[in-house]
Amino acid sequence: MWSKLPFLTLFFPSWRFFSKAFCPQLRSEGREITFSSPRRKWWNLFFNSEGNRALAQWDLVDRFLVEAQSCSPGEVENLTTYKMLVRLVEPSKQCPETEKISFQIYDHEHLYFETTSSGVHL
Amino acid sequence: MRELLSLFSNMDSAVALSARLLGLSAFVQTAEYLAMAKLWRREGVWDWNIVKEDFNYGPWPLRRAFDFFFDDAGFLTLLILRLLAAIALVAAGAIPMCLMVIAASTLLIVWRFRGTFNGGSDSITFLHALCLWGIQGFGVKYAAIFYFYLSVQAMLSYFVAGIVKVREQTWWTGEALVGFLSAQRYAVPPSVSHFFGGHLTLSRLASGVVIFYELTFPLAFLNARILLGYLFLGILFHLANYFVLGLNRFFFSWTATYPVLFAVGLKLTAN
Repeated sequence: MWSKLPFLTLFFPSWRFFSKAFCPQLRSEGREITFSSPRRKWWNLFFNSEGNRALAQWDLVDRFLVEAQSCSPGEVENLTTYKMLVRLVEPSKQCPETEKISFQIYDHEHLYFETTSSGVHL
Repeated sequence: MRELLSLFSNMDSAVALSARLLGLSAFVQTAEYLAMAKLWRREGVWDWNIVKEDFNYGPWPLRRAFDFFFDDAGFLTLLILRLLAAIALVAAGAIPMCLMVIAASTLLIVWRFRGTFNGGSDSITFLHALCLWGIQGFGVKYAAIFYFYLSVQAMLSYFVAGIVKVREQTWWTGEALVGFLSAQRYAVPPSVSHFFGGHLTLSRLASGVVIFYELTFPLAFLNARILLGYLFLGILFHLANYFVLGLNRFFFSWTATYPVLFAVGLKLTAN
């Protein structure tokens, strides 16, 4: 459990902000999934829940990709982040533990992750 | 300038101002978490019923404690408590109990969301609250340790960010900046992304300015006037980050540490 809980990183953060422009995108059932925020106004400096919600959702995609790449294809569907991502991509699926959906994570150069009815591809 | 110097040469005034700004920062964060309740409540993406699978280890009292703090009602209570502590800090300055509530609740929130929610703003908020609590709670004898740790971490947050950029080839060519500005996730104003996308030389120049600022940040501690200039530029830098990338929490989290950084800088240059 403790290895999964960020504890030491809070005392000794890495501060590696914006090192690489790695911003993968998400596609499900042939449609692109975006988590967009409304156009920013000056007062959103003091309250930007929509923008931060969108950023958190993108962070979840990144975090899932990191975790998926460190385990075997058979284990991916057991990841907590996978189940969260299923909920994110298809909110109507009430049981992410058992229901499968197909989605891809990609950028303009690579397809990083794909799950289809035939299985998971990394 | 003289008034500023006299204000910040008194460490207590610097800590009080920094605590008020930390309270404002924590208030903004907490109000946003409350507005995003759909995300963490039942059937949301961060539904405790999904996330708790990562907490299903360890002795049962610990698991019960996580259930207590992290289910819908417990987490709502935690956020309300944090909001009250933030308001008290804004109103009254460095209250040790409130600083401890902000530090502890930040740690719990980071766990609840399985990692930092908005880049490093959770990390700097946690360190800031913890160090101010240490300064207030442990007395004069140990205060220097907490002043030192907060200043070093705040300084490193710029310096390390500069190091990782300078080691990345695409930051030298300006392509990295264009890449971030064209990413959907930051909802960058189209005029900004088109401008830098069409002018790679300007993107390279802007990248160079950012890297120079971040890498030279530690040197600012050698002179109080230079440090003041760097902190002023820091305010503009974080404001620009908000307008371009939407990182409003970064603005409040980092600028809240500036009174302590400046007071420490004054002490260092005075000795």
